[in-house]
Amino acid sequence: MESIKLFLTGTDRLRDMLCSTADGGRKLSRGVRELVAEQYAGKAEVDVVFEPSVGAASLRQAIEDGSSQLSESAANLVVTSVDAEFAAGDGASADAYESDMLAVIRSIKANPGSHVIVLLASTIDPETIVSNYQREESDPTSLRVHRYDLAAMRLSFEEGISVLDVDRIIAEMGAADHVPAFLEYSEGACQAIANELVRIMDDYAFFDDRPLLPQVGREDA
Amino acid sequence: MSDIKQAVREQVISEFMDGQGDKLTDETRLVEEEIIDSLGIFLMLGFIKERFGIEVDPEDVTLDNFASVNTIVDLINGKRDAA
Repeated sequence: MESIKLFLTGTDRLRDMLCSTADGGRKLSRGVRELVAEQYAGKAEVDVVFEPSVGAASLRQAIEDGSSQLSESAANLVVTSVDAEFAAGDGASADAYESDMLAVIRSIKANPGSHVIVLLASTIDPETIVSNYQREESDPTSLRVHRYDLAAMRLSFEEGISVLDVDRIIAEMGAADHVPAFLEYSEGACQAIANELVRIMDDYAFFDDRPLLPQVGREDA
Repeated sequence: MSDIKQAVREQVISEFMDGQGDKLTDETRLVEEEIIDSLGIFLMLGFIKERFGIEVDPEDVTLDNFASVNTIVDLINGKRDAA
């Protein structure tokens, strides 16, 4: 049976989106590990490793100085989330994020067979929706998130990594019901995100007896 | 109205506004007003390539360039002039 090492690095919110309470999440009874066990019983199992990080800059630093577990052993799939950029306040600029994340991606992809998926963030901020009616904001939260999401999508285009479009998943579910606070998602939304990650893994052939689809960037093509 | 602007308007209305474009002006803020999201911007890249034969570089995929119908038209015209 295939054993897949799934390496999650980010804030507790990332773990909430993808991990069951048994694996440290706070919302899901069935996270990615359990979903794979149910849907691909006997074919594959997922070993989840979570490493806290607060954005691409700190992750890049941790990889470069060898303090990240990613420096020690290769993971089959590394998942990060744009939302971590907002963990320490407003975060760095989207340009800095793009530069740091590019270095992270290239470091991970230096291990043959390692794949990268970035979760985009929801652009919905319930507080901004209210305050925008009262005053003009030069750079509301939603636009700042859009900048980071776009940066991740540019990296997807350039480096061949996948993005999981959390913003669109939540929009389709109804943001008013599923985003109680900025970057906080309901249990239902987290379940949909975990389901989508498993679907993407299936697309890459993680659960098949065939080679994984490569993540081919523009320069590799 | 230029052919390019008309084509961009029609694409935005059909792809992102369910054909209901009465309130769309050339200056309507497409992202701020949640007409287009990040994925939508990338869908527009496909349209620009297919319709005008223009491949937009990733570094040009910015909120500013896709802020409104007018800025998208400016982007296309700029790429055409540079070609």
